[in-house]
Amino acid sequence: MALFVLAARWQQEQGRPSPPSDMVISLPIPAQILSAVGDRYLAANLAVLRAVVATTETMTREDFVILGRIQSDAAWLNSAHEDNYYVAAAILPWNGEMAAAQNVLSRASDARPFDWQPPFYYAFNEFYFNKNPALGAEWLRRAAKHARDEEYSLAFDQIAALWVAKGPDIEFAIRMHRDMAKTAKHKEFAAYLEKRVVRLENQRAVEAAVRQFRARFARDPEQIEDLVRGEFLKTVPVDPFGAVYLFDSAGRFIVREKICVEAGGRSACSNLR
Amino acid sequence: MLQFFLSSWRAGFRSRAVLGYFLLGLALVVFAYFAASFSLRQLKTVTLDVGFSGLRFCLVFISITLVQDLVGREIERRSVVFSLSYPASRASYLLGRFFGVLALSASAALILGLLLWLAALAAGGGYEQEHRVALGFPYWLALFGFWLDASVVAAFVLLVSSVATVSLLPLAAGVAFAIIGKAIGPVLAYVASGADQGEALAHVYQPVLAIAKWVVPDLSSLDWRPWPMYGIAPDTGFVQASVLVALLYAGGLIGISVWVFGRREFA
Repeated sequence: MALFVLAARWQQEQGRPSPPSDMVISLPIPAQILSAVGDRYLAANLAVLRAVVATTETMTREDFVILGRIQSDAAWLNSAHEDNYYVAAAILPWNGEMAAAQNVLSRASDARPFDWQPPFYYAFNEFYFNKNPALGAEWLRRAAKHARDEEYSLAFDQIAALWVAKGPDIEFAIRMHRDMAKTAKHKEFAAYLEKRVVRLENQRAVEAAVRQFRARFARDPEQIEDLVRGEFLKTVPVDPFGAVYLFDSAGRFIVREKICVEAGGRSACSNLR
Repeated sequence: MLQFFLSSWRAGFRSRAVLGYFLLGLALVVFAYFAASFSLRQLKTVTLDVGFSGLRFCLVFISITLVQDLVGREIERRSVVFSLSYPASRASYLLGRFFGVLALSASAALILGLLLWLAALAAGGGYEQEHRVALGFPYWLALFGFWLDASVVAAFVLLVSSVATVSLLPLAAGVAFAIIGKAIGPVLAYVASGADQGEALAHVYQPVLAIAKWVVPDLSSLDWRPWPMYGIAPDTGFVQASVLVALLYAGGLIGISVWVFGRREFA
């Protein structure tokens, strides 16, 4: 007994080894299925459980690669698993695993045509992380089709239209707005999209005129009226929303929106910033 | 056949092993209820998902154990000779036993299924998940699929019991068949989809799977749980084809069992 006590004290002085990381192993899918007695849904649940209980605060870059693989496998085993896509959207893109996140979200979008969230998160990742507003807008439109609530659907289409307008490909933005206006259920929204088409066409015309101005005078125009005086534009384009078109200090086309303020039953509008 | 069916029915309730698996099934239903607490947003769905996996596991083992007890053990102990001394054909003995197994496993499926149904209703407490589960006809159809899955396994074990001389062979073979039958569908789909660009892996699996898919039925095609869990109804033609394949496969195995059993010598 005394020897046991001495040995136990010596063991405590050695200290326990630190436990290995949660994310060391990712088995091939067939092995996961067989480990779950052939049940793919059980295999998916086991994989998602690992993802849900993982302590992300202490995980290394390699651990997140494994986590991405585990969640991608879970998405293959059961694409409709809601917890899997939710955790994937929340964790993977912020830790460098964009491809895995988009794979999970893409599969969930296909498997859950009643759920707007997977295509919405996919769209957000394209816009925010991949800086691809055009592709993000396409996925937002998909989220709009998945949404059962008309307000959500309308909101997603509106955001998609705004994102497309921010993208570098103005022809694509004009085509997409026209297409959305044709298929929009609400007349007011269709009218709004048509106005955005007019704004985009104005932008296209101004930018083409600016290129001609630069080619002739080897400098940027200071205001839109310069383009009209140089006969690169017939008239100053009129914005359908009442905004004013300007050039910034780098010569880029910008839109200064009209801001209206209501006070004492009267409203006052201005294009001042 | 009726007397053998009735004696199987009574014997099934006396089997301690079957009772053990049934109690395991109850424990798994309780486990499924608490498993919902690990879910972030779909508590009832997780209860159903885990519960269905446990239910399938138990139904398969109940079916294997029943065939083992009612046919395999009787052959091993030679007490089958007394049963066959009745003025009834060997086919009626075997079929009576098998239908008794089906009735017992159906009873277990109904009881465990009802308890899982209640667990899914109660799961999550007051939390209303965004996408509801479907606990009506879709749930009971899924349950039927799991019972049919276990019945095909029972037919396989019946065949092995009819020819086996080693008592553990039907159990071991039945478990292996249940796992391979359930896994073959997803593994085939995985290899067909490119095996995650693992050509070497696909190269290894392909020859074996090419033969196996004609020998082992795809029991995963009887797993229709996405309908109650997500409201994703399976294609009607696919369900009909899966049921037909299962019935024909089980029927074939039973036919072979009857033929083999009819020619077996019991010294």
